[in-house]
Amino acid sequence: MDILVNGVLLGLGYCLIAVGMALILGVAKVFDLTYAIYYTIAPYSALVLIRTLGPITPVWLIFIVSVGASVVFALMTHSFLILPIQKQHVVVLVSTIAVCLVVQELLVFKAGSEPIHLPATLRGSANILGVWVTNQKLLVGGVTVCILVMLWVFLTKTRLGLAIRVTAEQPEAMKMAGGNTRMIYLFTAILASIVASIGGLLLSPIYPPHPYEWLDLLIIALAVMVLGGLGNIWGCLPAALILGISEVAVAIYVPFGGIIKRTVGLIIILLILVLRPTGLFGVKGWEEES
Amino acid sequence: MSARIGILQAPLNFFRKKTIYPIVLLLFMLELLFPIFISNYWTLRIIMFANLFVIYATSFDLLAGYTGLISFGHSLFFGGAGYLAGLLSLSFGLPLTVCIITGCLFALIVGLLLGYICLRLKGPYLAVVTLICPLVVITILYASPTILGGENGIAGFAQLAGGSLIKQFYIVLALTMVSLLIILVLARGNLGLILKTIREDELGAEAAGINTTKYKLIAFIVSGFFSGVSGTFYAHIMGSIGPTMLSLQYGMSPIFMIYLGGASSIIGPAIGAYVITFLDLYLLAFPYMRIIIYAAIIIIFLRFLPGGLMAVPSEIGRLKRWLS
Amino acid sequence: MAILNVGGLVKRFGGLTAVSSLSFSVDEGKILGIVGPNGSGKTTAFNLISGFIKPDSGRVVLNGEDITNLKPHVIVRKGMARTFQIVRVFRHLSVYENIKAAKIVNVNRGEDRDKKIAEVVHLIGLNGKETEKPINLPMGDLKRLEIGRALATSPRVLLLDEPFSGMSHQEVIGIIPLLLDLTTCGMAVVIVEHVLRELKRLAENVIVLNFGEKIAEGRFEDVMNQKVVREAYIGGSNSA
Repeated sequence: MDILVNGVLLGLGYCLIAVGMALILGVAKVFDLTYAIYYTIAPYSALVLIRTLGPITPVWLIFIVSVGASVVFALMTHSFLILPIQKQHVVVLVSTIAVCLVVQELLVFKAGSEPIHLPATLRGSANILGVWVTNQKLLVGGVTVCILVMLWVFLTKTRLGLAIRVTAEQPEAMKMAGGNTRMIYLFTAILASIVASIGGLLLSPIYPPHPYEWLDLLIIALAVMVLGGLGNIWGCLPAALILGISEVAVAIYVPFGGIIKRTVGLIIILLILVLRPTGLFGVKGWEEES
Repeated sequence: MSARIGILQAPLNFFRKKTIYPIVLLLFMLELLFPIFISNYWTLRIIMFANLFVIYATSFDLLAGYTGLISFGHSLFFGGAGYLAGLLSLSFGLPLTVCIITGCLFALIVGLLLGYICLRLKGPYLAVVTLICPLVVITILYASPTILGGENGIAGFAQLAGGSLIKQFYIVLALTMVSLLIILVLARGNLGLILKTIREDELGAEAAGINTTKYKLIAFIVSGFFSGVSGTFYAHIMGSIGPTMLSLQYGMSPIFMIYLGGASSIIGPAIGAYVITFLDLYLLAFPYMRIIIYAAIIIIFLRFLPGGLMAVPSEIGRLKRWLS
Repeated sequence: MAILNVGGLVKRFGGLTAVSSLSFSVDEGKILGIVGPNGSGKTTAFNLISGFIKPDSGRVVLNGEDITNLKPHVIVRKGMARTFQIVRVFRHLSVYENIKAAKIVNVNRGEDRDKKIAEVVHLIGLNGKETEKPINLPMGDLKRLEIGRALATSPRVLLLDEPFSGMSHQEVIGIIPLLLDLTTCGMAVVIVEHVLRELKRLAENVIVLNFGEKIAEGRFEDVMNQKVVREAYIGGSNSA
């Protein structure tokens, strides 16, 4: 029961991490590895804001500024770096890793390599099904569900959502119908960065952010996406839950579990990509044509 | 227009001629004299490391540049072989030569395994899988502090040539010369051509009668072997080894080196190895700027100069024509 | 003497039957045409025969040997080469290197390799362009190059998948003599094509596919006059 509750909450957090990247991957068909930075920029911007304006800064202001910083970053990397080379997948990979490394070093330079501490949005803890969990974790879970629902509504019920789905399936058809695919891609990036930065802010009291976290975040996001089916946004939820529960289980039952549990994600990625590349709910190949 | 997009530019005609061999030999003759004229300990040491990285980068070029299989986890061979050699030396006290040879054989076998796993993977999928393989090993290392040294790695094992820099320098120089020549001959011969066809169009290669599976495995094995060679020697020169040698830092460096110098040319990556090793030295004074500069360089190069430094002469020529 | 024998080939993709019980044979030195509306399974048939896709059932026999489930490169070594609908040459390698790559792995005993490569280059009419790269060549030359690469493997059977597509009329006219020449040495050629007027000059016999099934077989004029064939084409363009 302990495993279940903690695992589910962890899984929901993982889902939040993965869903944005799945969005970008599904629509723009790029492996945007700078995605992980969105998570880090938000809390660090929040820190800067709090230090400048003092501890009485209103929460809403923190959120807006941090998310805004993330959005600006996303827009710049996508406009100048990623979209021009969208078709050359490997170049995108190398370049985005390079950007991650740059940001990492800038952060270490300016803020040191120790994790930063942000106050929790919700204090205290609650008892769910006999297990004590912090309210912050519940908040994360709740927000994830809300975001997923909103995303679903947006993608299925609005015109813009429809445009995004069309671009994901048939970019050529979209272009021929006069749609501006570049705007769609940028909008998707903005959407993903908003989700990611909210996630980053909410997760920071639980998992203190540090400059090197991008690699861990990427592994989580990749594991979830690969398991759920690359390019399949809705596959992220079950996949993330599976990952979350397995990690908690491993941490408890396996010796050295605390350290090994990161490997769960890695091994999942390996196994799935080699044995069943389409994942559990594999969608239309995000595959290169042969 | 399409000539600019390909990140894997074919080597310049200039370097294609047979003149490359005499030039390489000449450079090595030159380096033979270095210990006589260069008295600065650190300069010699840097050149020695640059030579080791030449082996690392050029062997990586065979896999990534020629065959088009861009592995983000080549540190698996570099660090993995080094770790094994160090462990054998420290824990079992085996003679240096045995440790090194075992390390290299290990790299060869790992190359075969990794190649087998990656047979059906392309582009980003390959990148992701190769990226995480060394990370898995690092996690295992962290989890076994007693046997494998954990976070701090292992230290204090036998040093090459008893630690004498001069001897080390010449050994490494000879090693580099032999390795580079072997890789050059392989790359410029039939093997290189076949590997390039796999990069260009795998199905087309199959249709031409090429056993793509066999050659992809060969690429992994040869590349892994030589990377293991450079890793084992590196470990034995340092006398210690830590999980960093398997990290992304050493995984990305061959990528930086080949794209900086010019992928798919062997010589380009060799140049890249030297440039980056020396750049590393100068940037030691600015630890944070190091990664930033490399990253910035690689981004700019990939975007505007895909052929690397090797392509500079032809780009200048193109610029001249465009201006006139 | 039939050098290629295809019997009862079947391939389904999910619920769709791409190729249904396809059987035909080709004799040495003859040219067979395969025609049919788009989507009739012609390219799938080629992929099945040349080993790029595994058939669900059926057999492919080359020179008396069952090659049904062999890998493509093995089939090439056994003497059957193919080209692709969308040209698959090695874009960043020179013309010479393209041919050489295929020759290296298909060397016959006692053969002068460089001489053979030069012969192939001459045969496909790309003399003087040996050092050019495909990115600088027109489509007609690329098609020739791909054929040349296939020829470098010394095939007994050559499968050409829409060799004329993307070519100008001039280029098509230019390539016909080459294709006719091939058969004089006993090579069998199977051509999938849409450009029927030129195909007529090449192929004495054709088979017609529709929805994966062979609906007609025989000499070109006889087949094209058959009602069922005409309906396939006209009906095909309606549903396209």
